[in-house]
Amino acid sequence: MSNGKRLFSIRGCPVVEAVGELALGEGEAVFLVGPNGSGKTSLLRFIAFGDAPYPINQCSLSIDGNLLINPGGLGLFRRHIQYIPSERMVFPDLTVEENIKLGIMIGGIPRNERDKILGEIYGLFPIFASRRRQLAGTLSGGEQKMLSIARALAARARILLVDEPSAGLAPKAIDTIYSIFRDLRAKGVSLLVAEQSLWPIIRNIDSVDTIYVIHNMRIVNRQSPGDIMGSDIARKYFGLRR
Amino acid sequence: MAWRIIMRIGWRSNALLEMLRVSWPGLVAISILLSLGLIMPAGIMATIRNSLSYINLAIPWAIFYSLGYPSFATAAFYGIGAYVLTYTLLSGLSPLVGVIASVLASFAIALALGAITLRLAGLFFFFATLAILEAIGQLLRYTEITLTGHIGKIVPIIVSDQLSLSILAALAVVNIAIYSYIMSTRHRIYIHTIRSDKVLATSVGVNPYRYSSILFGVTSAMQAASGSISAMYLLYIDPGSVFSPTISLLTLIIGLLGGYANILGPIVSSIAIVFLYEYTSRIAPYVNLVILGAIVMAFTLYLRTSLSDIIERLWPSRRSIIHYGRESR
Repeated sequence: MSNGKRLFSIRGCPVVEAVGELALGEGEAVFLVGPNGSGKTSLLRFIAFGDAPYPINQCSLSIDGNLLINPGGLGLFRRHIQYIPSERMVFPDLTVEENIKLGIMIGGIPRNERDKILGEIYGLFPIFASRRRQLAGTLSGGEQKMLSIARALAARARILLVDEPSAGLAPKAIDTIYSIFRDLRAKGVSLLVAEQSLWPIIRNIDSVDTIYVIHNMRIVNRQSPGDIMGSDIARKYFGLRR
Repeated sequence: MAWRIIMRIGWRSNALLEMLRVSWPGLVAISILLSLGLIMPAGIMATIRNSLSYINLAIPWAIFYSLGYPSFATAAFYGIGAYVLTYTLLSGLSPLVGVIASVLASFAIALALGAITLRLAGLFFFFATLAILEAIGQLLRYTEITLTGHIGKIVPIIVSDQLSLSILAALAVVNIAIYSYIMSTRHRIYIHTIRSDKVLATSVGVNPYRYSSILFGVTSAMQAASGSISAMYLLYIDPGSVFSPTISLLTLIIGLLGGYANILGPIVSSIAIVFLYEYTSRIAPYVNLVILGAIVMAFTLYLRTSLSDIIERLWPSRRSIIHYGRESR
């Protein structure tokens, strides 16, 4: 869970004007919620790759106390941030283990630590230990999502940008993903998660620290998960009644 | 120093063992080809030498094609290699300097051209490289006429048939080593990610554009080395002969038929196509390309696979991507 240490923030641009900044602490799970086309993916991709439309493209990022004007120049911080897209998450023709090893290679993990990390990943995702030689494309949607998270963790990512983890999944699979989020937070991994619906968040309210509501490329509100249910925001943007 | 490098890439990760596993069929094939070339009569020896020359073009072509880019610029780099060597020799420098200069020049030119063309999708990249080949050939033709008043250069070096054959075989060994290094290490996975899904590869942290550019540079340099060594026995070069689209076309046919999943693919394909091309040139000089075209069409329509894939299916090399896939099913 969050230990209060600030790891990441975005400020100084129209997208966060209404709330001042979007901040993420170590081990914290921040959710970005908004309807289709509201700019969730654009914001995540801006953080990960530095490409996004106005009014997102002028933000300055701060990672670990270092101010980065241009996120395209994430440089050394790039490996700490891993983006997990909402679809096409894994390489279907590579095996489960090759997908995980790809994360290890990208993360620049020293040779003598690689087996240890692989063991840690299999400890966290025991389902993959017995299926390491299975093609990733033959996994179910939920398992592919878990594998993409495993790959990001293998790169020793400290911040995961997860785009719509609940999209296309059955409720039970969504709960499994959210329980993994809880485990990751306990390990000090920070999460910035985009969701289109409030429903998976409400089902797993203890996995959430802060919710930002985004609409028309601008964050319009910041809420704690306990308050959002009865708020005007929930009614206005998501049609939830008091 | 060399031993330390081998140790570093080798023992700890068994990469060296994997490289040997991937490369040994190719090394055996080159040894057989060289031995035959040295004992056969001059006519067959010339065809074997031509085969080796195309092996040295087809292996880099196949490596780059594994990213999903079919290049038609082979003759451009072959020609650059031949011309740089010739001009280096005319300047009084040694052939070794000429080969190194051609490799470096091609690497730099390929990086520049890659910056323009590698953002294009596969088929559009193919047409762009076709245009590049024509543009470089025409530019050289114009420059030669303007500066010297004539087209073509005599290559001021004479090497024996046996020596040229041996040098080409040595270059083939280097090319096989580069192929097996790429296909036995993390680069194999990176290539697979780029070919499979560029967007996801970017998300994961592989930079497809930068990686493709570097690989284009490396494979073009390998092709330039083949051009510069071939110039040593060609005796005379001009843009029409070394920048010939036929060189690119034959390499393309060899590469498509041979594939990239197994080193024997481009090697066996080169030998078969060169022998067939030279034989049909003799018996039916005006229809030989038609015959080759018919073979490619038959392969594409009925077998729908490459020689590499067939070899992999019958005789899998342990770590190729295709074998991993099938093994896991």
